[in-house]
Amino acid sequence: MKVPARVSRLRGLPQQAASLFWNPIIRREVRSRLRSKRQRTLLVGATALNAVIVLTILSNAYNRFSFRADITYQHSIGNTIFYFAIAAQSILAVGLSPAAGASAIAAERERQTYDLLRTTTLSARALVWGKFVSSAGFILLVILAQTPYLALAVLFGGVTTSELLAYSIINVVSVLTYTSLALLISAFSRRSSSATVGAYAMLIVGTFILPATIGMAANIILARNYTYNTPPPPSPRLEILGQGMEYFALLLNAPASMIATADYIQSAYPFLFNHNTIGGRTIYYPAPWLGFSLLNLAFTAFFLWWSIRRVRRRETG
Amino acid sequence: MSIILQTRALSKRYGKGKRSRLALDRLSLEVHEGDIFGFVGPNGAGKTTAIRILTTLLMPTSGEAWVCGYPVREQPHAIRRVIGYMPDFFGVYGELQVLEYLDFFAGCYHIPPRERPALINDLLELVDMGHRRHDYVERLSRGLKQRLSLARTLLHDPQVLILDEPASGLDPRARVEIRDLLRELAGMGKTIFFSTHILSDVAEVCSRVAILEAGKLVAEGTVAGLQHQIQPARRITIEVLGAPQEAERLLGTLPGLSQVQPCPKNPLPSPNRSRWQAGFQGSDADLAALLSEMVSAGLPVVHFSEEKVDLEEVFMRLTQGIVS
Repeated sequence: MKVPARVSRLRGLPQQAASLFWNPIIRREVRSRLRSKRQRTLLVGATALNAVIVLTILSNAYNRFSFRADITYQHSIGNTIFYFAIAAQSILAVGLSPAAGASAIAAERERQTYDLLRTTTLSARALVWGKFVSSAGFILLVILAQTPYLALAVLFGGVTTSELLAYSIINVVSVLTYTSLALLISAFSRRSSSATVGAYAMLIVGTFILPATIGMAANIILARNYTYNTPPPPSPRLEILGQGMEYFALLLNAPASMIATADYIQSAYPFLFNHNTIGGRTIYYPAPWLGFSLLNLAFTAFFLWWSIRRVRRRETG
Repeated sequence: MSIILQTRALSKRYGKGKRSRLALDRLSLEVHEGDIFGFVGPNGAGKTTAIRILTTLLMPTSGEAWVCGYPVREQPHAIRRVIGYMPDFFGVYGELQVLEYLDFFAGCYHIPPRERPALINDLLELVDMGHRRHDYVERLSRGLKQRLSLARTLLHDPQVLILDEPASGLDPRARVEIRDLLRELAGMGKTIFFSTHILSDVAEVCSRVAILEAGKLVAEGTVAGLQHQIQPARRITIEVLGAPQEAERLLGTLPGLSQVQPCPKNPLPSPNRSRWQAGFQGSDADLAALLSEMVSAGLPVVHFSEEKVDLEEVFMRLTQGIVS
């Protein structure tokens, strides 16, 4: 038997574009995940748990209010369900994304398939991209499964489209960032267990400890600057620095960005918010949801770039 | 024949400073097109290190290696197109079926989807696994996994197959089947470079052999060449009837025989026989003439054979059991 020669006919940009969407890693991962009992249980379990909680909220609300036709009452129920559903999505994003990303590349090493993949003509970029899309895609699927609760909230009213979009974008971007961070740690790890621990540790540091530290430093700068009785007079530059640090700390934390978004989302400028300095200048910042998304998408791109570099690199011993 | 695989003073040192370990020490070898090249050595000899360098997974510390003319340092992507690599373990995607497993790797080699079904069918037939195509990979026996792995290495029609311990852990039947497959692949024009410590496999299938110990190449050549290197003179075993003293006297007078001595190995089938071993310099025709002369001289020969040094003995004589 003669095995015929078969080589790719695509070259250059078309090949790169094709690898984004026709990636064997994505197809295999999706197939494996959908066949995995654990993943199916997770999807059904999370959705069922949320259903129970939403039903409890509805049941309590109906018992508490007597004027059920009241629009304010309807909006109140809608709001409660909305914030619950958004919080549930956030918890799922924070809770699941690191685990999904951390097991991506390290698990290939554990099951001894990493070397096989590295000796194929599959590029490091296609490998990392495939892992990223499949891991983040599964978490987004779990989050998407909670959408009916958001729809229920919209039916009751009291929720604006811009709120729905802004919070959903924050959740989606959180999934992308946390998954890419976990993927990076996975690219450096030999075991998926150590990658998972590392990913959660980095998540805690990056989204809680680091913003808290920056926030405290910003508060110290601002407090010193605003102490009028001691010369020199307040410095507008220090004020901008302090405010900028506070803003940056805010953008590192998804729940904080959501809470801050709630204050601005219904203003006249949903994309920007401003701050008047002591000197009378007005500084414009992107709205928290937008700033969070831009910053975290930049982080995502950086984490993916670094992962590709790590996977591309040959062992040196 | 052109050189498919070449290393020149290839070295690999793991770690730095006092605790570093030299796994490969200035390895220089050549594998020609169509060779079945056996890479033999004890555990820890550096075989896997050399293979990982040749498959572009590991960077050498010094020296250079080329696969199909491509240098491993500068052109790893070109090398990946021309090699089929089978590691000494079987990477399992347990949740995939045999067909899906091959289809996945075909995707990794950018083989267009419309070409895959026919290719996969051909390969499954080649490794005699057509009837197991819908089995889950994790449920296959080790022998079947090795055959599937071999099919995977052929997906992109590589010029050279680099196989790390392909027969390790297999039962005798599976080993024979893998050996037959290797011969079949060589017949299809593939160059095969494989590491092993099962010497009978090497003697059976290899056209050339390299023996590695503690990272150093201790011998290289054909199996017959290595045997000759170990034992330049032929060894003849002769069994004769009658008194040993008379046999010894007669054997001592025959031209071409040297170092005639009683052979202590194995009990004799009857006390009336004596067994002798002697060195002999000459061709096959000279050997036939010697036998004829013995019979003419009245020596009652009941057994006459040439003892070949087997590869195991070659290996034991050339290596000292050093592990790097």
